[in-house]
This record gives sequence, C-alpha cells and structure tokens, in this order.
Amino acid sequence: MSSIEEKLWEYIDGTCTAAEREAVEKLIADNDIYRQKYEELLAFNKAISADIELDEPMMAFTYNVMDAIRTDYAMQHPLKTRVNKTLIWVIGGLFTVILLLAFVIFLTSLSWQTDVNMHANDLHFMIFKGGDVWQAFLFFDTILLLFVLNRFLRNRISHQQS
Amino acid sequence: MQSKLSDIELITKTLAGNQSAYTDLVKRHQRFIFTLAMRFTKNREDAEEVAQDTFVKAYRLLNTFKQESKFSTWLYTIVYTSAMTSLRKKRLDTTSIDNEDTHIQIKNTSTGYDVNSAENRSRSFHLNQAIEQLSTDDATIITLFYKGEQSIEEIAQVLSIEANTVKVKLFRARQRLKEKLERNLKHEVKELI
Repeated sequence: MSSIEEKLWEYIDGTCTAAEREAVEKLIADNDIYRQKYEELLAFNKAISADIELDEPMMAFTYNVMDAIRTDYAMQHPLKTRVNKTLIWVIGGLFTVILLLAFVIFLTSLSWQTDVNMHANDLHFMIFKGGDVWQAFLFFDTILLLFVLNRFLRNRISHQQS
Repeated sequence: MQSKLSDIELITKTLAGNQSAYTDLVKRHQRFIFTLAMRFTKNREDAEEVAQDTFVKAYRLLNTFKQESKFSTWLYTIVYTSAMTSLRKKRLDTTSIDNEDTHIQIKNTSTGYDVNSAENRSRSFHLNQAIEQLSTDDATIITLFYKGEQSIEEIAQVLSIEANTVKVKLFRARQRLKEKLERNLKHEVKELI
C-alpha cells in the first residue's frame, strides 16, 4: 500500500486530522511528486463521483412493491380484525328495530275488545304451544341476547382489568 | 412527480396510515436500492426481488426506525441483509474483498447501454463496466461512498464492520477500480483520468 496515495486519499475524503491535513497540504505545495499524484487522484475521484450510473428497475417496480406490501399486510392482519365495528352495530340495531316493529304490529293486531281471557289464551297458545315459528324465533332471540350480554360483560371486565 | 417532503416527513405520514407517502419514499430510493442489489446479486431478476423485499421489510419495520441515522443508511442495512439472505438461499459464494480471482464477470446484464453505440465509449460506460467487474464488496463500497452519499462511519454501520476497515477497503477498491480501467482502456485511460 502506497503511503503517499493513502495519505492523499484521506486528504481528498476529508478523513484525516487537522495536523495530517496541514502536513499533506504542505507536501502538495512543496513536492512535485505529491502534487502530480494529488491531481491525478483528484481527477479520478471526480470521475467516479460524476460518472457512476444508477441502474433502473423495471417500470412496474413501485406498483409491485406496494402490491407486495398490501398482500403482506393482509396476511398479517386477518379479516377478523379488519371488520368495521360500526357495521356490526348497524346490523345489530337494524335487527333490534325489526324485532320491536314486529312485536308492535303483533300487539296492535290483537283485538282487546272481545273476550280478553280467550285472546290472552290465544297469545299464550300461539307462543308456547301452537306456533313453532314463534318458538324458534324467541329461542334464537334469547340465545342472541345471552351471547351479546356475555360479550358485553366480558369486554367490560377485561377493560376494567387493563 | 416525486414528493418534495423530506424522508422523515414521508415516514411520519406513512406511519399515520398514508400509503401514498410510502410510494413516494419507494420512488425516491428505488434506483439506488436496485443498484445496490445489483452489486450483490449481479443479476437483474434477483436484484428486483431483493430490492422489493427490502422495501416490504422496511415498511413492516418502519415504526422501529429511531431516526438516529439517515433513513437511507437504515434502508441500505436492510438491502445488505436481504441480499445476503438471498445469496445464502441461492447458495452463491460471496466473494472476499481480498480475493481478486473469484470476481464474477457479468454477462448480458442490461444496464441500459447499447454496446455498439458511440455513447458506450463514454467515460461513464467504461467506469460502470469496470465497477461491474469488481468484487461485490469493492463495488458496494464504491457505490455507497460515491452514490449513496454515505460517510465511512455510515458504510461501517451498513456493512456491520469497523470504520477503519471500511477506510482500508475503500482505498483498495479504488486502486482495483483504477487497475480495471487501465486494463480495459489501455489507450483511453489517460483521457478518462
């Protein structure tokens, strides 16, 4: 390794100490061999800085990267965590409104003027004995209510614990 | 058109959920990342894969970027790791910095040049050709130093080596580059330098 070249490169790169810099500057000024070598290395340094070409990736590179990121994100965050909670509340609300509406329509359709005992029995019969559809509907609602209640209480407990 | 925002501003926007900010970051750094990947893999297809992998990993780890170094330095560290992993996977031997005999000659790696055109006899063409003939380590250090605007210390961080080692390697790489140029252009080298 040529010590002259090494010193000159350190000087060109600006990695030498102030004292070394001063010494090299003095050598360049006083010594023809140093000056000639310095000029040669400086020109070479400028040529490298200016003439290195950067390679160009294919045109769709950026698109491919962003596409890969989206795929990667989708794999790391499954659908379950990406479902909009508002949507769940809207569906739940709609279901409740329909249920209440059906119940109100059912109540208004009853004739309370006539034989009350008989119609009350009708309602009792319809729900508990006669109507299979109604029984299934009420059973499903009860399960749903318990499920929602369970979720709500669990969330509340975990929130309190955290 | 690329964004005029700084890397840090684009990172902040990306972390806030703005994906188009990351697109701008990719556009800004893709040429250099791809060039670096080319230095390692010596093959366009593999380089594209390594460069893409680098940006995906960077996106995934963006929230761990502490801003203690330049974003480019951090990104170059990732491309270096990704390239090494890719090379290991492909069971390619990475050449040693001191072993000139194991240099891989690149053939048919299109860099956008037409061999017969007059332009190809330009200084730039010959210089880039000589760089391609260097070892992976030499070409990487020269590219990082001259085109990546990385200091000796930053290159040391990227390559996980001592700064003094980088200094010695850069010195040797430049010497070897000069020799390659002299060999390739016996008559034109004086004009070049």
